[in-house]
Amino acid sequence: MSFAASPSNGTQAAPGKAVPKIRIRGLCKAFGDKLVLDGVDLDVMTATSMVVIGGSGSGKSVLLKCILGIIEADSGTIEIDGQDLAGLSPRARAAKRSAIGMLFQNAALFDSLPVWENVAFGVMAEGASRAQGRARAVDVLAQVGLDASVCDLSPAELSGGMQKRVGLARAIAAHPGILFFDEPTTGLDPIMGAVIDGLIVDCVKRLGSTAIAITHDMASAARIGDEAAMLFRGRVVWQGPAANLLESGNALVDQFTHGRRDGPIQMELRK
Amino acid sequence: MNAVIDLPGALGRSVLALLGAIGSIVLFGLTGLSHLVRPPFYGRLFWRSFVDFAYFSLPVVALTAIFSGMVIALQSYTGFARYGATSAIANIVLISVVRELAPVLAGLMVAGRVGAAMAAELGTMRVTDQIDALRTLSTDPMKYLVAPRLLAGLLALPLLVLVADILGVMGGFIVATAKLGFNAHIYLLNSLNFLQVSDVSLSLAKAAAFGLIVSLMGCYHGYNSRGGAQGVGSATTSAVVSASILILAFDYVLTELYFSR
Repeated sequence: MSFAASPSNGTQAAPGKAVPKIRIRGLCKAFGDKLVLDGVDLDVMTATSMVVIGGSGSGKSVLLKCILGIIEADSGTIEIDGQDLAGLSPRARAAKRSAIGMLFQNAALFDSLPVWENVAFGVMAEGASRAQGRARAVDVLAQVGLDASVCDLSPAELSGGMQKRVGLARAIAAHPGILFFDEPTTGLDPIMGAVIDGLIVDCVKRLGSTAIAITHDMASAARIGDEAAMLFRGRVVWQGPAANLLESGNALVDQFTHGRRDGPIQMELRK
Repeated sequence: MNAVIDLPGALGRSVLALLGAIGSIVLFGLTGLSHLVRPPFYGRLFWRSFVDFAYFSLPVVALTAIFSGMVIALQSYTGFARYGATSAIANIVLISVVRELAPVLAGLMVAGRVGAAMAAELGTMRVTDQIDALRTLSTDPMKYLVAPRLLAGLLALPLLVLVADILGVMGGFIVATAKLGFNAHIYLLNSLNFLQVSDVSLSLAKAAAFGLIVSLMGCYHGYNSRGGAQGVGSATTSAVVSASILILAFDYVLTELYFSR
């Protein structure tokens, strides 16, 4: 039985049709014998927020890391702005990827640097002075609801919610055209989760960025996403408006979004 | 029976794994070193690693060198007294400390102190996605994390060993004059007359090689650590053990090269 969904766009963009900001075709990645991505097809249109849902181990994080170049895919194509990354020179590929900001699941703040240097890291890597970097950090921290008093704190002195906000500030500091969010509300209480979701939506709208968020949290998915897709056994099995997630008509998505034990998705439990 | 039949296969797999690991380490080291000649350069990070390597390791290296020099003086005296050759003790202490003990013991001490810390820091960065985060911020982790540490190891250990050479000889001098009844002036004169530039060069060359080994092993095992806290612990252990073994192996190789000139 094949669960794969037909992508809404074919493998070639039709004449006159808008080119997706991110276009993935046939992406495969295996770790040893374990096939994690098995021909992922996904289109994310410009200035759209795409939420990717799926069970643990379904390949969501690997998908983001393949796009970022942190993990090299075994096969398939990744296009950004219509350009296949594999066909670009290493310098051009790095430039494309440098336009992607990422909020990691655990924020991944640099322990050895104070908050402001974490936030301004990307800006200073692009050539800004330390004074310019600090000014930019204060500005961006304000956008995520943190005042300048946190600038000189170490990441270890922050709560989980504050760390996420600093991670978000770091992701948006360089005005990226694309933003990735890996489980943005994991480990947060529902109110802080809603606050982070609100900040993400604000940032994405203000920057006009294209976003991909991966999450298990259906409330978060509904708040963040314009579009949604579900990964199952390494393939996209459903893609549609995020508003339809709870009434998708797809048995896999319905079981997942309603958290039902019985259904086509069978958890592999050792008896 | 099966175990006997499988023995060549198991041996072959082990050899291949070892060769693979060596290749991986060499490639990692060359990549890290290549970033030293390609901008941007992270002087602040180099300085932080250098201070950690040289300044904060000074007490442990100094104490090790002093006590080693003292022990060598005492041991060689008890041995050489049987043959009436106690006048050679100043020379023995000098050769032992400068050519062997100072670089090797300083290398081993620094492997335990700095190499372990490097592996733990980079390993923690790996398992908490901080290294991946660097990539998303237009920064090459090899250039930012590895290259400054390799350079710090390469430059800092020779400085430490230079201090250890002096303190080790001083340790022998203290025991020889305070306990064994040697004349201080004659002891120092013997030592200085016997000292050759090539001895110090060998000492510093070994120190540079050992410093690079300590940094390389710390960075390699930390950078490639996997599997959470246990992985970081394993990386730290591997960094110290592999650096220690390589220091002793390269000590032999460098000494062999020195005498085969």
